[in-house]
Amino acid sequence: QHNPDLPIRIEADRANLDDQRGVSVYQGNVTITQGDTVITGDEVTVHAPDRQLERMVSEGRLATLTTRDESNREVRAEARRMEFFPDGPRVALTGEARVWQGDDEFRGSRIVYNLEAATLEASTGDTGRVEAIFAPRDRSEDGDTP
Amino acid sequence: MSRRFSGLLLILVLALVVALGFWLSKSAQEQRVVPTAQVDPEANQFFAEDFVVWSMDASGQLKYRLSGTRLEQRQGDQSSHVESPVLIMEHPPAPDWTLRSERGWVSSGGDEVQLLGHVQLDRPGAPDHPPMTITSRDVTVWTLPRQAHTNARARMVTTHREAEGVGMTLDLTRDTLELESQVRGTYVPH
Repeated sequence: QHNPDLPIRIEADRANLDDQRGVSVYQGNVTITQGDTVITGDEVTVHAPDRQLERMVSEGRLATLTTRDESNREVRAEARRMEFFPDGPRVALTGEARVWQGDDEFRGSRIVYNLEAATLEASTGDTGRVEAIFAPRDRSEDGDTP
Repeated sequence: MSRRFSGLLLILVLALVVALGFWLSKSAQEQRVVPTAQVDPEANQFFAEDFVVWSMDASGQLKYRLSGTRLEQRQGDQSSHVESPVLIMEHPPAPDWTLRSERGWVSSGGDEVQLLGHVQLDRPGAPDHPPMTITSRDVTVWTLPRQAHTNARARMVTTHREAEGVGMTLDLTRDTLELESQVRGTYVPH
């Protein structure tokens, strides 16, 4: 499960840190890791006004996220843009946003996923639609004898 | 006839006096010219121990303060070799940056300072500036644009984060740090 108290590690090909503006830009094969949560992207902008980490914005051909929920089920997500709010802790996905919780899939133009509660809010934006695809449960999972 | 002869004689005497004077002054001048010894470029022009230098820019403003245990200025290119250099660069209201290394080299005009061996750059904390320490090796400092660069690995530590990478450019005026490759960073959530 996601642990918001762990340090956040970031790796990239190059970086430009601007101490005065509190903005750092990491570019090239960027990976952000906090415990089980891993976010990737081509470019990540870290906003830390007054030296307080506020958010990390990952943009990529597709930025990706993998983590685990409280029942240790894998959760995956992808979108053109991901805003990671460590304090949330939550991730806002925009642009071709998709989230997979186990075998269930959700699509929308904007999805906000809460990393601690493992809940998500999907919104359509102007023209899009929210889609939720729930994989049928196996009967054995429900404890029914066939 | 005799008048003409005495006139010629006078001219001759004058000519002799001028020639003698010219010869005397030329030889005096030659005596004052010290024969220039063959310059050994690696020889010291002078050296100083436990020194402090305040270097000013064109407008008379302090560019930097350099101290060290020993400074040797070479005759060849007028550059200086320094032991245990401590370079302090001011930029009020921001706190000073203090740059230390094992050895150093200063160009003749003082525009370029090479900090050699292990290098540490420190800036104390201030209301608008968190304390910051950068460690690396072989850093070149350009004192007027106030920039420092190295091709080696550099590691920056400040209150809420750390970052390191191979190849670094630090702009001491704009407070920006560029890491050129193999970047790793850590943020501590508050």
